[in-house]
Amino acid sequence: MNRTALAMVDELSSTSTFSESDFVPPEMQIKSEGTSISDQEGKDSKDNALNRTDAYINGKGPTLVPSQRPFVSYRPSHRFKLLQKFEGTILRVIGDECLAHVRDNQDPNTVEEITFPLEELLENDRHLAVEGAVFNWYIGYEDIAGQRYRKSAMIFRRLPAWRKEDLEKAKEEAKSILEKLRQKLNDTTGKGSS
Amino acid sequence: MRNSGRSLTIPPERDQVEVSIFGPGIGECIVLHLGDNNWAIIDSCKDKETGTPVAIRYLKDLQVDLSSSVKIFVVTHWDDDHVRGASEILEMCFNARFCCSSALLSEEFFQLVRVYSEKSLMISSGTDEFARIIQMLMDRAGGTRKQSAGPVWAKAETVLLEMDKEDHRFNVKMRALSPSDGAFTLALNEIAQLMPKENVPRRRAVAQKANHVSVALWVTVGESHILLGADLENHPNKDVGWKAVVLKHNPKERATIIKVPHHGSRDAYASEMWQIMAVPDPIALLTPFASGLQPLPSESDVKRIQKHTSRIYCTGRGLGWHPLKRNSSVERTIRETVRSHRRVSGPMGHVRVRFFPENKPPSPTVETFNDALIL
Repeated sequence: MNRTALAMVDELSSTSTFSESDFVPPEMQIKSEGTSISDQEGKDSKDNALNRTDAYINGKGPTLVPSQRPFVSYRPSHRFKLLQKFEGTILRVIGDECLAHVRDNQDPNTVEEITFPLEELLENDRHLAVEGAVFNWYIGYEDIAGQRYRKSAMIFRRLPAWRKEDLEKAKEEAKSILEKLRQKLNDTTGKGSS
Repeated sequence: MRNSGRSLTIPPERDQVEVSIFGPGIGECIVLHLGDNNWAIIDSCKDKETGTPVAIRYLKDLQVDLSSSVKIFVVTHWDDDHVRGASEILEMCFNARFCCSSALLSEEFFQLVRVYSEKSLMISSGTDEFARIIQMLMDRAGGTRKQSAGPVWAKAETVLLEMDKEDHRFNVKMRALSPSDGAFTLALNEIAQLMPKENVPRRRAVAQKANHVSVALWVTVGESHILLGADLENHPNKDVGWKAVVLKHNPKERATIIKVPHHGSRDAYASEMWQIMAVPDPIALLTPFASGLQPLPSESDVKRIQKHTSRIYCTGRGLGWHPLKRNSSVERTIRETVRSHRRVSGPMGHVRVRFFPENKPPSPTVETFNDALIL
């Protein structure tokens, strides 16, 4: 699996608005075990064909002749089968090594700690490994031209930078909340709770 | 006494005091019974089996009415390992007084909380938890239970809870030993340094270093005293940390039970604290911190504490646990990728001390549950 595809999926998924299939070419999509791109495509094609036929019969649509071409299964030559995904946070970078906490997506209450060498990351990504950086760690099989490879990819989330407006807004909100709470504190000073 | 768990759900007698300390490897929570079914909760961590705050699970197991019996909930500081699930406790124990460090009643801290409340990240942090707490405090501010619900911003010598013998079985007083005024200024500087800079990519707020703002507590129940050391550390400045606390302490009062500060770390060790504030051979309770390159407590940390007491109870080993079992291909790939891999949150260790403060001597009984052990 090439890194770019995973990075695209990762960055897009951070917006939560789009699914990976909206943007990533089918041959580059991460698929979980048991799902098949070709199954889904086949269903869509059949539905479209039926809709077109209905329109033709009712005389509402243009004169279209449903395709008689048999459905050909699309078999990507390059696909990634995800076995495990972690979300991680870098705690410290010491020399050539990163200390990070990772959580299994299936069991987010369990915290695991790993240390890994920086060389596990692409050279261009190493500057992203700083304290507090968030990354996803994908482990799975990559099938390329009939061969299966085990793959591990740590992909750092490229979150947008802090803008001046964000920081100023936070400052204003903090000031307003604090004023209200201070007022509350003045109201309750010296009163017991029992 | 190691316990199989059968006695875990037996509540204390009405005239019995209980100190329960919980720790799953990362995280800490203390539950106190102050007599007559009055309870206090100090800090919070989550039970990974149920995903609920351990204090809530435990008190429910004891059939305690959370809304009326929990009188006070103190968050000693805002480290992730002390606040997980705190907003849920605040929500369920809605008549409990909420207390936290006065250093957090600052524009700098509130701004930090607003800035780091990043919704798109799966793992929440201590700042997220505080964002929820602040929202709840705001909601409470508009409510009718003003006297009980109002937040108390603790600093050294603030009395957080007081119950007189007139309307209670015995005198109960909980007061804050820290943060000192000196720590307050220091904390503001540290918080300001954590504020993100413009045009810098967003990140998650990770472990904070502002342990100087921790709220250490002195709890008096009848004639007995309990010292809960939170994560308060030493500082070169005598107006900050344990030096400031020891200087102000009345040496006539000595604690029989001590929650060892900051997982027994060297930075939090003050021999004066043990000599001036504790009885000889007190019961020392601590939680491990299984994360990091040097998990706590280390062997040398334990030896240091053993100079002052032979009764040290810890909620678990600080070395972590084996990772979860996974698909063999996944495990092989992990082994090939990482240099070390361990689980830092494990079973919820629990040490429970119960005693009758009116008995002379009180003769406390200590029970350990799950991974808790005697060091």
